[in-house]
Amino acid sequence: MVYPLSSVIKASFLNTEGTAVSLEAYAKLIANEQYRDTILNSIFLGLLAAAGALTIGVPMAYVVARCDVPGKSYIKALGSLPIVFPSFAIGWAWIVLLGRNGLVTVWFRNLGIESPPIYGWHGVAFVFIFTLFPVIFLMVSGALNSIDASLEEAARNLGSSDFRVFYTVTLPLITPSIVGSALLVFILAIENFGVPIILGERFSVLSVEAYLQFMSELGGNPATAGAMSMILVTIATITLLIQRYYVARKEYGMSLIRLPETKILGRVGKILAIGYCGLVILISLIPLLVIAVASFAKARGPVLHPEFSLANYAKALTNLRPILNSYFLSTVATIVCVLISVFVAYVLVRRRSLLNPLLDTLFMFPYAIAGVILGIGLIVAFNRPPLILTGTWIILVVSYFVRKSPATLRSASSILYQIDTSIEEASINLGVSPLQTFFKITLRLMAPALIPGAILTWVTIMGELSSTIVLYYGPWATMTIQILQEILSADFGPACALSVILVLSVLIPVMIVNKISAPTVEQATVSQ
Amino acid sequence: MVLVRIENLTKKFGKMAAVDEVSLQIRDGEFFTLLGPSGCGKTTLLRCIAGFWKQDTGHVWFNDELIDDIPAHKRGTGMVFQNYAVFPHLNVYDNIAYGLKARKVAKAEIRERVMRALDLVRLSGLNRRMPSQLSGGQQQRIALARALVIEPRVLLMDEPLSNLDAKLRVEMRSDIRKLQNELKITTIYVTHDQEEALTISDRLAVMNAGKVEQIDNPVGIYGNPKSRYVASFIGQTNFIEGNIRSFDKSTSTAVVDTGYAQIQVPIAQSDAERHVVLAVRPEKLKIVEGTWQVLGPNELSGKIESVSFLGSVAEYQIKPTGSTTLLLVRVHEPRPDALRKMGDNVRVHVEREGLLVYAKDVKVN
Repeated sequence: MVYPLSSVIKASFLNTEGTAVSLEAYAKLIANEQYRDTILNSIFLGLLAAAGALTIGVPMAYVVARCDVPGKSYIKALGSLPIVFPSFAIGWAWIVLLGRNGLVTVWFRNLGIESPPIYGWHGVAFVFIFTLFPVIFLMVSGALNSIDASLEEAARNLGSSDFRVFYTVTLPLITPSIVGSALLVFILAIENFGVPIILGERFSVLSVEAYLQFMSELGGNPATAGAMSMILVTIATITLLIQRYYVARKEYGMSLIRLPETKILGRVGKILAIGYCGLVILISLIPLLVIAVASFAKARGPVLHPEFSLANYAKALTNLRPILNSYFLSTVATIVCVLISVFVAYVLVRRRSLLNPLLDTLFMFPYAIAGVILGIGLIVAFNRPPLILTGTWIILVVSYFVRKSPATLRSASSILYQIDTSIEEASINLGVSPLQTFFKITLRLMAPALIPGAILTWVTIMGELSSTIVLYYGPWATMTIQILQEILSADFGPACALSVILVLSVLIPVMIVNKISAPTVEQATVSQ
Repeated sequence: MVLVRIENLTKKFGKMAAVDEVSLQIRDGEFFTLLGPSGCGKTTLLRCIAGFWKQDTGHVWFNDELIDDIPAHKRGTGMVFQNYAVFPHLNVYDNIAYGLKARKVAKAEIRERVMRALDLVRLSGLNRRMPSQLSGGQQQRIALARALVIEPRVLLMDEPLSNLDAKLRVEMRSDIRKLQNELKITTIYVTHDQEEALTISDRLAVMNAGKVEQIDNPVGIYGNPKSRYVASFIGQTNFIEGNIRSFDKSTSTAVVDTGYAQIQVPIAQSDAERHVVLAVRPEKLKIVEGTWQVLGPNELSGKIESVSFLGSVAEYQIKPTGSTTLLLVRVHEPRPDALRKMGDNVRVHVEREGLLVYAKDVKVN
């Protein structure tokens, strides 16, 4: 983890020949107007995504947490779905719909109307908003539900109107969650690679630019890419630290005894509330329908014809390798993540003083280091002896492990926390050795809670693109890579078909997990 | 036949000694209680005996066997935990059979012994239930059966009743005692509840800050506390400070001046003007009828500050004339017409018998 990152840092401070320490790369970056714009673009995009996601997510959280609308559980389940899907696939669906040869675009064009272009910053921001709002929705509705009813009742009892209660009690109490989740959205947006690379076009952002620089510099020196990476890491880290600092300072410990009461809405209110949530969910999930429908259309390059055909699937399935790769790599990485996490958690939970600071620090890494940058770091670090992993599938597993294990470690240790040590001691006391006790009791008790988390880890690895694109080589292309390549080479038919396969691979496990335990999904989605 | 011997046992956490040079002997078949407030080291000591923690110095013996280096799972103790620690994923039967399976007991025998254990704790018929379907009291009975079924050399109980409600606690208490009497298993019981400790134990050790203050049977602990700490921890006690004014060698009696009363106390020997603390149980203070001008020996006058009527007992807080301390007076079976009111002036007699004298917190009479 530290080694690859330090390699990037080192590279960024070398001159073009790679022979001496210099600030050349940074100087070049700041001097170049185009690069300066790139930095500003990233920040602008992040802010836009956070603001948009807030606008959508907060009202929805309020409706679900506090109003008596029917079908709440569906709103909650569907409203948290967008975040588990690979965001670039969603972006891709919007291209199918509104892109240059998109279904809607063509339809409008035939009517003589030129529809607004989806490419550029507004398209990217739009996709970010509708894929990242669940972060806000879930965190804020969680906060709203953890305010004990008595607090708001006390305020009312002391003579406050409904509005004043919200303004003086409720809002201050959920502000940490609002700010915290918004900062998280900001980070996720600036680090995202898949959406800007297919939708950004001439609107360049740091993650994509770092990748392009690195690729064009391969074999040469990675100074510019390194410097860009460092800037991205720095922005993300600062944001994370602000988030940590702010939340730690403002978070109030509250004991929840009674859930807050739900507000009874009139008929108009109900219709408005459901209509609003329904619309948001519709917009965020429409892309899935679009891809599904489009996958059965006849395609010629980027143009889709409204004729039913299975040709796309036939074409997509001629090369099974990417599909198998995705399944294989996700499975291996998940198993490695879970096994190591359980083991480390077990050791750490027994030494509680070490646990929290360590976990908090570890947990920051995947957010602080964007996938692309981790990929670059791993390549720089492992492309020479003593350990050469570049160009093997193992490096992909390493990268997935680095990105996902903090989340699995956190969930494993929170599960372990809930298992009282006296249960293990009872087993030892009854004559079962500590090692056997670990398998017979501890692991057995952890399993039900571990499985949903493991499935979600698997699912998010299936959709991983940003580090994979840097690290994969020839035969180890995954589904996401294959889709991206087909999109970039304007081969829309198979891209749609493969996207459907990818989405189903993600959706079915998520639905199973949802059936097993709804709260775990929320927890895990937020923590992934 | 198991006798437990603890020899100069010390267990430190960091610099703090949770258990400090403790030595104890627990007799075969005895119900022995470690009593003390939280943090006094009683649970630490129990866990050292169970083998979950290893003491820094000192030894634990079961009969003549030194068990210091035997791992917890081979010590053959049966432990009942405060939070039951029933395995949530196993049903009642499998919970109880768990230790027998680990000992590779034959299947038929396991079945027979589990059923007998269920019978013993009066839970027959619940063997297929899952723990989540059972009440706290039932879970604790399972924990007890699970510990008993392996026929442990020593039964260890760590505040087993503290999570139960008051009524159930009393019921379980007598059940546990009855079982222990029948089975004659050497039992070490940890609690912070003095009433529980007094009713259930053959003998008990009162612990304070890692050390044992006193070991005795319940009557001895209550009636003859060796230190001020034990006197204050067990039951309610009035502590009255004063100085020895005179000492009569022939009757071994000293007169202690408390400022508001002259109290005669039996004492072996004494220096004059020595500062002492008298411990008087609330039932040893008697409200007496009489005139108010002259106070007799061991008498004081005071005013009733509060009255609590508790049914079979009435308690008064009395402030002695010219003092700011409050004395607790307890009257058993109070006659309704004899109840005093707040503000009444009363005369109180301090009974000589059962008066304990402490100097520097250690008993001197």
